[in-house]
Formats: sequence, structure tokens, C-alpha cells
Amino acid sequence: MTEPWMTGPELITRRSSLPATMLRNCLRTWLCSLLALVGAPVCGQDDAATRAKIEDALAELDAAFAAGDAARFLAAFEPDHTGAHALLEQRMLRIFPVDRSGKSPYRRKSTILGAPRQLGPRTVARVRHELFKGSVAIAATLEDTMMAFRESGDTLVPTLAIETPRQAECSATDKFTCPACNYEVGGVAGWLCVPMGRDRAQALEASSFYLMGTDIACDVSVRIDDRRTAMQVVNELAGVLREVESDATPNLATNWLPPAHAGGSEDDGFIADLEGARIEIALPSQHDDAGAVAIFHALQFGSLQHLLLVRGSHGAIQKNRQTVDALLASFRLLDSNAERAAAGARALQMHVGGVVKDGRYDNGKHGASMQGPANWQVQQRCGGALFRVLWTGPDDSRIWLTGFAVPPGMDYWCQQTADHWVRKLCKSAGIEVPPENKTPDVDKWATDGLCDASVRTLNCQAPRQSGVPGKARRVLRVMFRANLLLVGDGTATTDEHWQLIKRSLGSMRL
Amino acid sequence: MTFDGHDSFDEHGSFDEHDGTFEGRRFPDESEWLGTELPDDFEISDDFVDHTVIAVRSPTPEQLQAFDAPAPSADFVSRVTGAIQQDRREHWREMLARYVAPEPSPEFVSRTLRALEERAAERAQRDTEDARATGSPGVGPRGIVPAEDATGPENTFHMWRRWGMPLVAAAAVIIAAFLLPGDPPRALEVRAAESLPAAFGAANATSPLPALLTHLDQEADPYGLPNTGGDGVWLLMQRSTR
Repeated sequence: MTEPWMTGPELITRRSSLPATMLRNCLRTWLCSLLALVGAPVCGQDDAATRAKIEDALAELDAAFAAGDAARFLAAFEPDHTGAHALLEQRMLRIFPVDRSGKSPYRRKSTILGAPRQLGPRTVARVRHELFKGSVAIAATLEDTMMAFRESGDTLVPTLAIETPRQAECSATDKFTCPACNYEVGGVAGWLCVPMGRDRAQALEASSFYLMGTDIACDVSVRIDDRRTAMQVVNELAGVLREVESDATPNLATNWLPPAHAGGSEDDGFIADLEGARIEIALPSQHDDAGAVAIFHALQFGSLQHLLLVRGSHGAIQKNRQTVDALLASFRLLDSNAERAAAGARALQMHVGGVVKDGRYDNGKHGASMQGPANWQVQQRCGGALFRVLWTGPDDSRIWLTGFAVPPGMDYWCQQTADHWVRKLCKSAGIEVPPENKTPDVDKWATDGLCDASVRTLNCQAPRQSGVPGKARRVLRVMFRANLLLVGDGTATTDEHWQLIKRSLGSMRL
Repeated sequence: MTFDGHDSFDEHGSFDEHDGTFEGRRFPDESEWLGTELPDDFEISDDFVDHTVIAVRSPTPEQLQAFDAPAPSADFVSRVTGAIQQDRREHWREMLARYVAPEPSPEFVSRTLRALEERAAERAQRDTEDARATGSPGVGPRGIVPAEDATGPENTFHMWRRWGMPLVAAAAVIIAAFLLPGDPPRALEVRAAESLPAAFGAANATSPLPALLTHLDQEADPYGLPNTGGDGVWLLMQRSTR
């Protein structure tokens, strides 16, 4: 089993063999040039030269990573997208503290997957990062990076680096298709498609499209939401954006349909039960004097919700209006005859798994189950967790069951990471978890007798749901195995409901 | 049916004010009215006209009651009195405001003080010259003019030090605030990421949309644990520090 990747002060790698890599690449380039000069057919000479330049750039980044020098790492970029680069900077500074000692047994090796390709004015490549401790590979789930490069003399300079899950496949045509979520988008010249992991996406599925050579991006998310209309969603998103960016100025939300479904007849793609909305928000303090723009688009087909966020500087969007419209025009629902009521259920089943029957939740895809109280209302919710089920009883008694996948960067759940994560979640929700030594409120970890998983129970205090001052009792049952963390969480208003909750939490299986 | 003028019109009948119809029927115009045949059982008494005129000219107490003024509310008197007093206060305030002198500006104050000082200095100089002319000391034990009454470069320097330097410093601060470049605004993606704990996966996304969706989900279920994935880097850093 590979070791968990220890970051922070322990992640300082040896200096990579930069000079040897550069020498090898230079020899390769000279050999190809010599063969071409004498007329020998050199297949893929340009590809080889491009590949060599990218490898040189990656070697420099790995060397900076090895030295723990975030400034050197970031200085290697000439960013197209300032927002993405700012996030990269934030992440690098979090990983590399300023006062590094410069000694560590860890090192990073980056390799190009597949062949680099030209996309608009940029060369793009998928890069896999491997971490080593000595000769042992660790952190096998570390995300790949989609990178874009720009010609700068005889070298290629990185301009964009966006993480994408290892298991996510990027189409060679940059078109994203999901039959379960009943849509496709992309395949427009100049746009790079980068799928996003669920634990980052806060959705069933998400991807981002970046217009090469500009700071324009379009984020696509698919969610299940049966409580809001498209118009409500865009207005609420605009409201939340205003809380994040205080000078954001929303315009009026309007009805909107993608061009593929905006026709008047079924032959033109019209779908009777499809509703959509759009809202444009000015961000005057972003980018240069002209500011930036964020445009939310929402489509609602039954409980299946598609969101598209177009963002970028005002000048770039004005200049590239046609190609932005072309991307939006590439969005379409695959099956216009799909049954509206089942649209969300099909997507949920595909991406999440899990069915509810007679109050019992069974998720065969991830091997988890729990029997809820009879006659309580059951809902499956969509978010960033692997799955979330909510039982609601009379008088606001509730049970939540949430499954968490192993986050990227870790290889498996353990007692410490499970504890840290649960405590962090509780702190965010205002739930007071007793300290470790306070028994019997805090059980020690034990092995569940009915399934091969570690389990413990926490008796906590939480704000009352009714808003009444004071605290209410909250019980958490935490269960994990290597690849899944399960948290059952209940609160009740009567003794009878507490008995039901206790029985339900006892039926958790992993 | 007999109509003798005593029948009262039920004003809560089926009258549609918008369409001007009664029970779905439009009131006939004059020609229709004049041309309408009376029903066979409809009798009009001989004194109908007189009766009607008398009724119109002599309304009953009940009819007149409809035009009575409503009873004043309990706070009517106090409200009206308060409104009158407020109106009078505003009126006097406007009148008196014409005679309120404006606050003197700092320039006026400094100019006036400077003029007074110069005047005092001139008077002192005149006294000194008079004293010399008459041979008597007039300005101090040794004939030295006090510094605060003196004219010349020393007084100008003191004035500059008192007023000029603070003004110059204030002007420099104002100019620097406008000319020097401020901190560049943080990117929207960073702001969105920072609105969530670093432990959350959405805080490490390259798009601001996940952070916004996380806030929406929390608003929809404020009492549940956050429905969000974690960040492995953060978790392992926490583990390594414990």
C-alpha cells in the first residue's frame, strides 16, 4: 500500500535532474534537425520538438517544486487567466510555507500523457504528476493537470494549469457529453475542456471550458434541484455572488434558452417542459478599468438542472462575443423526448447510485445502506459529497446520511483524517463536538461487528432548528473503511423520535 | 310589482361597476328607456312624481347619516397638534437660518490672525519710534521687541512652522493617496475560494461556481453538515501537524 502523501513542512524534495533532462531534449532536437537537413524523413519532428520544449518547462516547474520555491514556480508562468493563476498561487503558498528548511525525501515528476496538441494560439497537454519518497511512489490519486503553453522564442512558456481528476477523460475534440445527464457541450474551436472532480464541483458533474489565449472561461455544472425554477436559481446565484464580491452589480434576470432549443417547433429543437433563465452581473473592480462580467445561465428540465457560468474581462468577452455565443450554441439536450419526471433520477442513479424504498436507503454502487424510520419523508440531495440522504420526521426531527469519498491527494481514510474531517464539518455547522477525552460523549474507535468498518459515536450539541436560543442534542455515528467515510447524523424533538434515530443509526452498514 | 318611491335600492346588489351592468344587464340608454314597454303588472301610482320629488328634497335621517363626518380617531387631536407645531418649528427655522452666520473657514481665521499680528507689530514699531523720538523705553526692559510682536523673517518662519508644515504634510498624503497605485483587486476566483474553509474541496476549485453553489446548499439546509467534499492536501497537513 502506498504511503499517504505528507505535505507541508515535510514536503521538501531533492533537486530533480534538470540539467540531464535538458541535455537529453537538446540532443533529441539536434538529431531531428540534422536528419531533416540531410533530407531524411523525420516523422513527428514538430511533435517531438514541441514535446521536448514542454518537458523542459515541466522540468523547471518540478525543480521549483523540489526546492519548495513557490515564487520561482509561479514566475515560470505567463498567465492568460489571472483568476486561475491567483488560485494556483494561493495553493502553492499553502503547500510551500516561506520558512522551508530545504530538506525532504520527496520529489515530483511530471510526465506528458498522450500527445500535445495545438488549440488556437496555445499548445495544450495533459500532465501527470507523481510523487516519490525515495523510490516509492505515493499519493496515487493526485490529480492530473491540463496545461497550456505559449511560444516564446525557442521555448514554450506555461500560461494555464488546471487540475482534473485522473480518471476523467478529456475528449480530443473538447466536447463534453454525458448521456446520463442528457446533454453535450463544447467542440468549438479554441476552447479547452477540463472536467472537474465531484468533490470540487459541488455538483453531480462539472467541467470548465477555457478560451485559449484569453481570460474567458465557461463553467458547466449539472445538479439535481426540484425546489427552484431556473429564474430563482440565477437570482439566488447573483445574490450569493454579491455577498462574495460586494461591488457586483446584477442586471435583470431574463428568460433564456440555448440556441439549440430556442426554436418554435420540435423540429427546431423546442422542448415543451424546458425552462431557462440568464442573468448578467458586472464586476467593475475586477481586471482592468473596464471590469469583468459574470453571466449565469440556468436550464431546468424536471429536477435536472444545468448551469453555465461565462466569466471573463469585459473587453475580452466583447472581443470574442461570437465564439462565446458559439460555445453556448453547442449546448444541447441529447434526448428531447426524455421523460421530465425521470430526468433527475436517471442522472442521480448514474453518478451517485442509491435507491430509497420503504424508508431504506441502499447504495449498491458504494456499498452503503441505512434503514430510516417508517413514514418519514426521504430526500436525496445533490452536493459535493458522494451522496446525501435526508429523512425528515414530524416536529422537525431529522436524520442525515452522508457519504464522503477519499479526497484527491489522499489514498485512503484513516482514523485521524476521518476525525479531522468530521470535526471540521461540525465546526462549520456550529455543532459542538466534545473533546476526545470526554467519555461517554465520545466513543473510542471500534470495529463494527456487522461490517468491516471502524465506527464511533459522538454525542454533540447543536443550535436548535427552530431558532430558539439554546442547544439541542445531536448524535453523530461515524463509520469508515479505506475508500468511504459514512456519517449518520440525527436530531430529534421527542424521546420516541430519539429511539427511532438510535435504531436507524444502528442500521448503518458499510 | 309596485314602485312607490319608498323602496330602497340595495346598493350591495349585483352591480358591476367596471362594466356598468346589473345582474349582467346593461342599463338602457334614454331612447331604449323611453321605448321600453312597462310590464303588465307594473303599476305606477298617480302621486309617484310628487312622492319622488318630496323624497329627494327631504331626505330621511338615515339617508343623511351617510354624509355624516366620521368620528375622529383617538389620536386625531394629538396628531394634528403635533403636525401644527412641527410646521411652525420648520417655519421659524427657515426664518432664523437667514440670520445664522457661516462658520469661518480656516483660511479666514489664519488671515485674520495674521492681520492682527501685523497690526500689533506696526503699533509696536510706531511706539518704539515714538519712544526713540522722545527718549523713553516703550517696548521692554532693554528695548527689545517681544518675539510674538516682531515683524520680519523670524515671524514668517514661525508662521510657516505653525501652519505651513501641517498643510504641506496633509497635501502630500492626499496626493500620494490618489497617485500611488493601490493594491490590485483580488480575483473573483480567489474571493469565492476564500469564502469557504480551506478544508472544503470547493475552496480549491478553479471556478467560483462551486463556492457559490456551496453557499446555496448551506442556505437550503442550514442545520445539516456541509454537503461538500474535502481537500486531501488540507487533511494530510492537519494530520502531519498533530
